[in-house]
Amino acid sequence: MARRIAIVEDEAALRANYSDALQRQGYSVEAHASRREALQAFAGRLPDLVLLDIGLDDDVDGGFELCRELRARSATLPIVFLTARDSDFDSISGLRLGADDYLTKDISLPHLLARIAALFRRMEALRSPVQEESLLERGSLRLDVDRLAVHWHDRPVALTLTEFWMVHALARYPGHVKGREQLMREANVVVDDSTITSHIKRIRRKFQEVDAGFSAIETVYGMGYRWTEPA
Amino acid sequence: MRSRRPRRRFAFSLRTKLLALSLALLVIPWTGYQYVTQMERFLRAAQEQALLTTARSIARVLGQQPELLGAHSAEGGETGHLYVRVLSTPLQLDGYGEDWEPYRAHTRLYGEGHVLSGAADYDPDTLSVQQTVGTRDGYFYALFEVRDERIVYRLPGESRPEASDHLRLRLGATDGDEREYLFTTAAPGWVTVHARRGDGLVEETRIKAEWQETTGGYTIELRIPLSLLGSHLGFSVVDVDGPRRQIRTAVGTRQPETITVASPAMQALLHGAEPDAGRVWVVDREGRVLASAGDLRTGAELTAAGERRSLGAGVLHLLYGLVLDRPADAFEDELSDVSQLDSGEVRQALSGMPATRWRRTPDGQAAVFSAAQPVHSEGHLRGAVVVEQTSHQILLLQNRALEHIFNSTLLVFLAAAVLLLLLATRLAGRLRRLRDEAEQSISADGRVVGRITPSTDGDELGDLSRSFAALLDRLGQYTRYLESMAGKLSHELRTPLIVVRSSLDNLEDTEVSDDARVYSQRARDGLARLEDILARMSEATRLEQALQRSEHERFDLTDLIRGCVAGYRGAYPEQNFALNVPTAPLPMVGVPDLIAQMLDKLVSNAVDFARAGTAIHIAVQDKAAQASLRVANEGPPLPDSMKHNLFDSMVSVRPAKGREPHLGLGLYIVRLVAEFHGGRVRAQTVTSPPGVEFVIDLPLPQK
Repeated sequence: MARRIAIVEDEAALRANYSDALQRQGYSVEAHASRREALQAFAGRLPDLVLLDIGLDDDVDGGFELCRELRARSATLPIVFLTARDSDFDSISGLRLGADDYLTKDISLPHLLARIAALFRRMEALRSPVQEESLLERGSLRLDVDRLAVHWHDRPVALTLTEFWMVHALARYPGHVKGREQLMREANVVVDDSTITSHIKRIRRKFQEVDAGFSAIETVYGMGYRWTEPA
Repeated sequence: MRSRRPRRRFAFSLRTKLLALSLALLVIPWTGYQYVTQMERFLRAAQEQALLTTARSIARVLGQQPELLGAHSAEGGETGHLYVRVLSTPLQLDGYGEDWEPYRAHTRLYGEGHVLSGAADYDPDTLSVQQTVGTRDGYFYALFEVRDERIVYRLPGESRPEASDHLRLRLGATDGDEREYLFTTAAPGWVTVHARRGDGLVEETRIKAEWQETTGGYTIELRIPLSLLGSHLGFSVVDVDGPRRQIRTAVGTRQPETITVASPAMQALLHGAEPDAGRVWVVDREGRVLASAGDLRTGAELTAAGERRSLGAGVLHLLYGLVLDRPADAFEDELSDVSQLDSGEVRQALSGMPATRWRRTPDGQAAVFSAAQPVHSEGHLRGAVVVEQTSHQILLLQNRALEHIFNSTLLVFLAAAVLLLLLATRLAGRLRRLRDEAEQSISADGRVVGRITPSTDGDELGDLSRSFAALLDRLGQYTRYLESMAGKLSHELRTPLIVVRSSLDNLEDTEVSDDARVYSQRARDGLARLEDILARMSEATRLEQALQRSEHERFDLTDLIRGCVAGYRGAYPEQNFALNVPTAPLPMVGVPDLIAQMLDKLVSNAVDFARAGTAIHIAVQDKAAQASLRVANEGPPLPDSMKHNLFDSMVSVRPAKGREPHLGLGLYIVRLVAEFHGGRVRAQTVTSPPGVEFVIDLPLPQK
């Protein structure tokens, strides 16, 4: 049975484009233009994944509201923000509301599809036993590529998909400097330098919540970042 | 910090103008002066009227009491007249003139015009006489002060009075009977008076006289009972000189003068009637003085003394003295010693018509008004009453009024000037404050950097300040709008771009012909460029947002720059970089990523402009309180027109060519980052080697 993906997007052309692309991948898609319409549709049964735009016509923060309501109904429903708003403030707000990922619309359709596929894969993986080969261990760091889960000192670190791929890119070859471009490519996102910087900052902070002495991600000014094995 | 503009000096500031305006108040004393002169005319007319009235009433009283006018009025002739005034103080008959001091005004001088004999070789130094007369308690008193270079006394045993200096006195009765008295002495002291009787001399004891020597002469003071005094009096002082004791010179009256002794009754009548600071004369038909009362000068002195005032007002008083016609404290009264009046108004009155006259005293110090009124008695003209008064009273009144006007004007003027000055100062201050605010709210490069606090005052200046504030706000909004334009534009353009790209993505997934694929690829290329432009456009906006959340940390600036430059060497393999940083660490507090981003922009800019084959110089200098970061490249100089707004949003000096889009946001980002760190940026053209240098001064934390 095809997975059901709900798109809430006010721009008709985009709605149609995303729907078409997803349908081609074999997903069943239901598209909604407004929060009210979406809520009516979700009242009966929740979809398997929701793509949310933040601004829905005049409803400036409609996407946020919707996210809050959906998360209240289901803790596990994958929710991805797909929006034109690229400020740090918006992305932080979105992720705080419990979204699984925050993507800007700059993302290309293939990247978007890859993200969605990864999310579904994680959902699957969470239900099946851990596959050894999908694990990447670097000292205290353990990355589960299937579940997209990160552990530091055996304690889970709640990273978003983007953050996960960045950590994955850095940790795969410790000591190698990864430029911003590379990180972007690895994380399947198109963002500017300063966004990468703030992503790195957020990743560090999340690790530091688990381990206050975390310093494995090192800045190499003018070049990028590298993963250093703690001595 | 911008340097404040020097204070401007105005040729005609508000204050000067308002002060000049207040000078208009000085018209007040001028109009006051006009008014006072007008008043003076009225006062003079009133004074004339009052004096005439006084004269008329005295004349009427005298007309009713003809006996007061005496009997001798019938007599006329060429002879002189002597009016004998009442002496108000007792006299001591001692031959000294001291007790005559109060009556000096009536002293007559007999000199050159009164030489009776020896005129050929007359010298005033050898002989002149001053005669002063008066009456008191039934006696006639006279003082003869003789100037004589050598006194010749009578020799003992000498019977001839002509053989020594002497005084001859002739008294004549109304009926023509005349007696002559001789005053001669052998030594100073009591004089034995002889009356000539036929050819001999008889001692006259009723007449007392005292002879005293003075420096340069002698005095004779004598006393005669009024009963001996007749209607005429004549005298001569005879100077005898030489070894042969001959008469050298004689000075005196040619003819015995008619005399009038002031009668107490007449005096009493006049004393009540004389005006303040005035004088009353009664003259007979010949103009001979029968009585007089009052003194012009006593009055003047009194009123002048009344003028004395406090020290503070004294200065002003002195000042007014320069402007005002002040009544003279002392002036010459030519009529004080006369016994006969012969002026125009008197003559007219004696011809039966009342007359008035203004005259100035001979020294010009005072103006005197006199009113003459004929006295009629029983249908006959018997004489005239003359009332005189100086204009001092009026002058005083006038001066007092003028001083009042001047004083109050001065006060009003000072008060108004002070008020106007305060107002002008306050206005100028507010204007200056507004100007300073206006100048400080716009930076040298024309950006709105501050606000004007709108004034709450309800006047035009407050309005101006408010409209300035509103104007600046609007200008600031517009500037902000322009600066945020790139961000907004990129945001607005985004959605349609995403539509295009997602459509292209979809298109590629569908079955399309190879031709269509070529076109879709071209569309994708164009799209990529558009997205590049958008990314750059939103970079500044994003940075501005990032700045608001950035957290400062401590880092080593040299380390950062070294790392960055290592990166640039990788990023621009063809470009040469010359790095010059201190070996010691340069600790700084800030956001290292932003500094790196700023350096990226500077280097990217330098790379674009650097002449091929030349190096880009990157240097850091530790200047104690600040670090000076320089990025220099050889190449074309900065265009003059762009020097001030090089660091503004959407300003580019690049020629419009090349594939890379340039929105002029790079240097704007540099400025944002530098200013965020409390630093300053400047660009300058350097000459050797020719090129451009960007200097960023960043403050360092206190060590």
